[in-house]
Amino acid sequence: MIGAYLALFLLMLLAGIPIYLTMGVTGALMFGSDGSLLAYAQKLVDELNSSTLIAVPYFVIAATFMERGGVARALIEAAEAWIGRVHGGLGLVAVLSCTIFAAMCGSSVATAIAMGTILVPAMIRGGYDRPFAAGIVGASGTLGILVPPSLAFVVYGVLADVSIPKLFLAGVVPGLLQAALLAIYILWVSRGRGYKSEASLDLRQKAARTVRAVPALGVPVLVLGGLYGGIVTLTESAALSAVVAILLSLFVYRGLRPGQLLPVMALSVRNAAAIMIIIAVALAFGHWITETGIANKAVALIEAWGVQGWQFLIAINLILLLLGMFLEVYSVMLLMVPILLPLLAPLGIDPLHFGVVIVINMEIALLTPPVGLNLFVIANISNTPLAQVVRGTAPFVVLMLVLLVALTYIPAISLWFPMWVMGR
Amino acid sequence: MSAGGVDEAGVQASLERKAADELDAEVASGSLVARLESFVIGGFALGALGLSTYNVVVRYFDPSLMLELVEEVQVYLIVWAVFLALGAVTRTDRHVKADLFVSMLPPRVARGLVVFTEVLGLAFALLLAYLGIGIAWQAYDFGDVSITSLRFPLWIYIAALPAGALSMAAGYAVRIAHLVRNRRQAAGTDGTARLQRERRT
Repeated sequence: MIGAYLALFLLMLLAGIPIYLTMGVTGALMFGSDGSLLAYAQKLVDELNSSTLIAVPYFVIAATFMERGGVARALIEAAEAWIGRVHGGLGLVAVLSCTIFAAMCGSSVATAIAMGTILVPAMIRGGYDRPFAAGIVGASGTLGILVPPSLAFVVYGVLADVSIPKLFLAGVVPGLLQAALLAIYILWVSRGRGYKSEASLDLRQKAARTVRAVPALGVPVLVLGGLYGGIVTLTESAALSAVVAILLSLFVYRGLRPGQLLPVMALSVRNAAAIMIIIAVALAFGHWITETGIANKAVALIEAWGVQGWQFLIAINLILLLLGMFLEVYSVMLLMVPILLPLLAPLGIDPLHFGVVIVINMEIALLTPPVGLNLFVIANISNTPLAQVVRGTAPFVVLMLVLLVALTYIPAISLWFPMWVMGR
Repeated sequence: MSAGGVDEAGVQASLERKAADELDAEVASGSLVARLESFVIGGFALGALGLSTYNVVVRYFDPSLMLELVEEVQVYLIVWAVFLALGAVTRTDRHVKADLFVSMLPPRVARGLVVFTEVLGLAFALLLAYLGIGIAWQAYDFGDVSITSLRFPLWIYIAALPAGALSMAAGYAVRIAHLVRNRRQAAGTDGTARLQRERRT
């Protein structure tokens, strides 16, 4: 029977049926076979009744306002004032601005849109090769889900019941490592190709641009400082991030008018709703998996085969990379985490470490064709053919695969910082 | 090269215009129902944010002014907003899916799958609405309230499920009606073309 459900599930997925519907119908059939359809409906509403989970829409609201509200431009101009003149200056500006923006919004797509809209045309005008420019922003944009606060970590934390503040901290070192890797590569290529800006700014202009960016730079300080300073909870920090994004968009950078407040808010909630409905059905689906004992059988199977943790991680990385080529980021996570989670403890894999591995895989998924969301975003906003964007991001994907291998097999890279700050 | 110098760049200007147009269209256009939907969804989310921010601010200045109900009520507001938003998500076909393989299929088969998906979605939404009404009624009938001091009637929270499912069902119905209309128009166009060909011969 379980095989039949699985076959139906895969068939529906391949038939292009929305993920929520695929999981929802399969879940309803599973619960229905036990005669507990009402319990299924109850499970859906119960799972959403979580003050942690509402951090997801709050972060989506923050990301949408920051993307549309003119925050990105202020950050880019400040970064450019200080590092714009070195070799590959605009490329480095992209990495730095994306890292800072990622520390404000938690979404890779929002980061890529906000930064790419301004920076890809700027780099092309500065003489950068078009695929290279697209690749820089595509790859830097993925930092949105790795650098805290991260929507992906919130979703994983809810699914895996892992401390989200710890997950955020676990993303810090890998995020900085990724930014450094990208920057080194950009610097190396730019030196070879002679990408260098001659325009310079005097100290007063630099200071003016920096001052203009201060309110934006204050957001991560306020939100993450509040969270780790014990002043606000995770949900409150997400709400605070959204409120500050709204205020900055309307009154400081004025990318939006007050009359646009409710429509943009509704737009944000719609974006979040598409994720939240999948989360609800995925949690119910995960509940069914636990209840039926499938997880225990899988654990027994793994033990019988004598699978080691490192072998499991290789297999999972390959599966995630493959799924990430065809599915949207949150769908992969919501599909796989409930199934994989029970296997972690018997294999001695730390769920915190596994969260980072999953998120790095999801970052790569954003850049791998045929369904890499950041590829589409960059192609669309920069009027660049998709093939050129894919060509431009390819070297960055290789770099990120190297990072993935390092993070998969050296858990300390992601674990030492959260352990140092928050303890076991 | 200055990023600031990109102000005049065509791509940026056109994107900003496009985004502004989208929003203006959202503010000004659409049926009254769609505008009302936007107003309610946005209003709920804004209310939740307002409550959360209020508590954060007063906690800093005067904790005695904090409202106990905030944590609970903001969840209800956001969940209602999310469920109500599902109607628009469905209507505008913004549910997440993996449609790569479908795009490789012959157009006739792909069209058939689209129709099947819409009908399946409608059936699932109606099932959820039916089940949702069932559990909301149970909660009302049993007088279920939250375990906090607010003692919030839970049927109001649970009713978000049938409300959202019905708005999704309406979204699917609109999409199915659109598909049928398009098919009729296409058939009408084919028929007219055939008639004209026959007349000519």
